[in-house]
Amino acid sequence: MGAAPVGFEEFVAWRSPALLRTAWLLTGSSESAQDLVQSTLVTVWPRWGSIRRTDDPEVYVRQVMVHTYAKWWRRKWRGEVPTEVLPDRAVDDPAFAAVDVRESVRRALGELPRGQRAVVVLRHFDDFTEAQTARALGCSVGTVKSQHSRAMTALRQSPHLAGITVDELTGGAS
Amino acid sequence: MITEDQVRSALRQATDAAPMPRGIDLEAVRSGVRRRRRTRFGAVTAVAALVAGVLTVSVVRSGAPGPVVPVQPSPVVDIGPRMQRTELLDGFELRSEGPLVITVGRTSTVTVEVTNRSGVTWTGLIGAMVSEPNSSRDGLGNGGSLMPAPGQPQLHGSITFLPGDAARSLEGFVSTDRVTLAPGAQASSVFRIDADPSIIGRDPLTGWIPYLIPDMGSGALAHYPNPDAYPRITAVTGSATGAGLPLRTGSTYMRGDTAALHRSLVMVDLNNDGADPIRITAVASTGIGATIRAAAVTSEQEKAALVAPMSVAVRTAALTAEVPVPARGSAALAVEVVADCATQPPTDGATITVTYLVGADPQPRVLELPVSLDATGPWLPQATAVACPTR
Repeated sequence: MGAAPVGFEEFVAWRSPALLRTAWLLTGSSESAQDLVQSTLVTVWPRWGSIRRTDDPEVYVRQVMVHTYAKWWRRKWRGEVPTEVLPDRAVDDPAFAAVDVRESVRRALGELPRGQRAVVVLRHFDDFTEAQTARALGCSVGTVKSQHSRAMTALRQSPHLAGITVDELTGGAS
Repeated sequence: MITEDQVRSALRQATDAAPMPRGIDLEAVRSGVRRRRRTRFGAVTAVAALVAGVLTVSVVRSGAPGPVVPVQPSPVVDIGPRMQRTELLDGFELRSEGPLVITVGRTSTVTVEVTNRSGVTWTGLIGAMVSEPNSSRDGLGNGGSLMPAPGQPQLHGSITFLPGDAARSLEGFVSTDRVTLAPGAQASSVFRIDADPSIIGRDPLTGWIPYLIPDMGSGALAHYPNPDAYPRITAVTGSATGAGLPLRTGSTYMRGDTAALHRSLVMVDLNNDGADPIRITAVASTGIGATIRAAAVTSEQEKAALVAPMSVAVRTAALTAEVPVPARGSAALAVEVVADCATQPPTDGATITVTYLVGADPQPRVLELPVSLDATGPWLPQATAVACPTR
């Protein structure tokens, strides 16, 4: 097997950071996020020729990613994946606050059922419309609405977010 | 009540701070495509994958805990008073740093740093010595009281009779690796040294004396400064450590495959055998770039509360902790290390830097305490130390 299909390499370079972020929110861990994006791209590669001719290839790729996540999460071993690199990062007190908030958000998301979690991520992180979300998840717009409503209720009641101020939660953005 | 906008901001903030892989490896994708094609058309591969899938599902359903890391012995390190001296000699700037109290049964760490201030390149070995006046000991392999700590590569140095002073000897260690120092270049060697009980009866020692051995055949003599300029080294047995402060570390590691984080709680027991209270200031640093916070622990109940849930841990958001250790008493320092699963796997070789003050001495002393982030502390049940809640 030779070179990547035309435009695929550029797409990966340009969009993989955003795909990884979505995947992190879905899976809750970096290594699983990397696995998920990689699996998605493996699926997308052979069809890239037709995908790139669509209006928005990224929507299609995200759709594949969510499908992959839904299928794969049921059987995927989520064990540790050791890595070789130990990058040094600057650390100070605010880093701790960020760690705590990130952990709280991750835990709160982690307690949502898979479908609700995907709806929250696609709607509020990827800014998908209800229709796009429905298409990505392969369900009706009505299902997206009801899943979203249940997810918001659960997040509002989540004990993981209870002790965190709005400023901490949003990084002062709200 | 959390609004949709706040959820949006929170998700963005969380992913901003989350540890992300550096990117997607296109080669891995290409391999995945190849693998998938092979799998699709290979009956044998398909069967194997099915079996593997069934096995994986059964492991997932069994809720089996992750592998338990075997208990490792805690390192015990002396952090009594230390000496540090720098001097210029024969075109070299020599700096040595080491303990003023050698405790039998405990490992001492000595560092010698050499900077070539001459205009020519020098090649040779770096050593660290103690000097014993009035000695007639023939120590090359016989009667030496100091020895390399287990696993240390340095050579046990011979006793060297100083020219013109046959009654004085040096004993110590030289590095096994030859160093080449260009003009202006610097190199250092760290020596981990154990003492045997025979050191107790010896005449007063001075140290730690830097020692340079030029390459064989160069015709040059070894370089070492006047031993009289160095402070006295006292040797004591482990049970009589008036000045020694033994530190025992216990490290726990929580495997976090469900989290983006490894959280480890390192508990450092501080036992003060001396007659004076000691104030320990711990400064958080791991050497692997992990996030750290530290707190003083002054009671067993407090320690138990920190250890038991493993998810609560230290909540001080402080990088330093002041720990008062009473005379002939003990306290502990709790350090929580948070490392990102993807980028910072548990590793040996991390250190926690502890800076401490003894009595009224305003001079801070520094100890780099090696910790094993994947070791299970001997005082913790292993079941507590390993948690994989969603498996």
